[in-house]
Amino acid sequence: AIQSSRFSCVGFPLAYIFLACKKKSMALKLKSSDNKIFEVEELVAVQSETIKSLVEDGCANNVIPLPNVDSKTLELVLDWCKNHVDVKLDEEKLKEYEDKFIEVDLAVLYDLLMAANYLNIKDLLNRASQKVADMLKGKKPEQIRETFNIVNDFSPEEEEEIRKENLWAFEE
Amino acid sequence: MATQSNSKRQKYTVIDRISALPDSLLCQILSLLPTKQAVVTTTLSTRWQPLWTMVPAFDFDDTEIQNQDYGNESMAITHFVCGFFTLRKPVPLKKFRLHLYNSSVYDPILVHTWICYAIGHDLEELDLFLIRSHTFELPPSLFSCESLKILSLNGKIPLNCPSSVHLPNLEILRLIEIKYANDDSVRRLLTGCPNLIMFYIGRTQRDNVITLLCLPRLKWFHIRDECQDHEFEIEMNASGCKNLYLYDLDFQNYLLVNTTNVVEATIRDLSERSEQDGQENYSQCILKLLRALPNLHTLILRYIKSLSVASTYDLPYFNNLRRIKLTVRCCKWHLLPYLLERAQNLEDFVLVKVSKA
Repeated sequence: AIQSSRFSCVGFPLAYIFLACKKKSMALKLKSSDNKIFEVEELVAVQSETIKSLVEDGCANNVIPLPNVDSKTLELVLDWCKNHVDVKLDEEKLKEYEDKFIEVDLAVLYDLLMAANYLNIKDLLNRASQKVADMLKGKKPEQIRETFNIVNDFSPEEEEEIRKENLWAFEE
Repeated sequence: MATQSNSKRQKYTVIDRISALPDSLLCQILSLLPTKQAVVTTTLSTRWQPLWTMVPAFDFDDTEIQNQDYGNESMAITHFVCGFFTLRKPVPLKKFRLHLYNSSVYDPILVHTWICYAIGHDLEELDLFLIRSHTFELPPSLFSCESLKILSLNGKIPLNCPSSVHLPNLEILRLIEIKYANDDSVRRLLTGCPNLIMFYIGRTQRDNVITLLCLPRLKWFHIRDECQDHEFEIEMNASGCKNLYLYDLDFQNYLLVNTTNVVEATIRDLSERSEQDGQENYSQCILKLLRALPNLHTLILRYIKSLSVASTYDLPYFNNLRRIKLTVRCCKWHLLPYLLERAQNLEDFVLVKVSKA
């Protein structure tokens, strides 16, 4: 088998062969909460600090279970990681990609936030947080409740009390 | 069956998932908002009520209290900042941003105290914009704040560094319209930041700095110099520098050494040099600079009128240049075909013409 693979390499530029070998030897297997297996390059996966420390501790030889991330979210997260692994990527293009990536439903945005938090992927966490912050920005409390389905569980008296306590912040 | 799944979906969308996020995530989100708005979330629900007190950031500018009468403004700022500091939990304050654009009256001693508070709470980013700040003094402890990563000072703030500066984690430094005490003060500051990566300096009027020294570890250097004072000198050992931005610089007095690693350079010149001599001099300086940048990958030239008088003989070859972007007002640029000819590996060329207005 070794010999045949050697023969199949004839004619390829040397660098390409190295790249292929490197890729193969550095693949990691991740298992989502719904038991789907994702095979990814180590370079892509270690953008997650959580996975990185597993790899460094030598715990990444078999399948890495990620019980807090479902396959749909993991697919998105890995796409993000793939696009951030190549540092040479044009800044403008990267921003374009990020803006498009983050245009998702609130439900997906929460999943991404939780996954980025659990997997400890800083740039994704920042981008997703920024998206939520942008949705909060400039809104009155009533509008925020409406956008995010937050139920006001204060009694009118309590609400008035809080307003009074925080008068220093409500001065316009 | 269909109705069941429909109602299920409906139920799913009305669930308040944001309130179910952990405190740390919600606080991170709130830290990206102006603090005034972060505090207002206290009225949303019992879940949100205490969250703002744990937010690790303070972000305030006086445009948020514009409706105040003259005189009440300073009081409103004081109320707000003091309220925030008094009622928050003893958690780190990683970011402190205070921009006072309009306030003619604020108490410099109070601002000093607020910064001291931040320094004592693991400050990582200080962003200060103060107008009429001549009586303001930065706390000396700022210059030995080990946690500090980003320092941005704007608006004639006096800068007088203590004899020893120790900012081992400072990576980004922005100094705009600063009143430096003297050359030594700047030198001390820069040598006290061994890990500085980005340095931005903006001058709109003469300060008393004569020599600006730059560090070999810098990766990103940006200078905007609107005052074009002839005594100002830059000495730069840019062996690590990859991105160079030179805006409106008078190139008479600068010394750039080891610029071979620069991959991206942006040069802008807005000044209108009417005399032929001045233009020729200037274009010579720019060509000299370009010759010292053999590994340039991206070259961006904006409004460099003087280059229209440059001699084509002096133009160097750019074998590594992949991208050129030119922004011009007039198209009398005989140099352009020669420039393109000398950049044999060019992949991307952008020409932007803007109207004179």
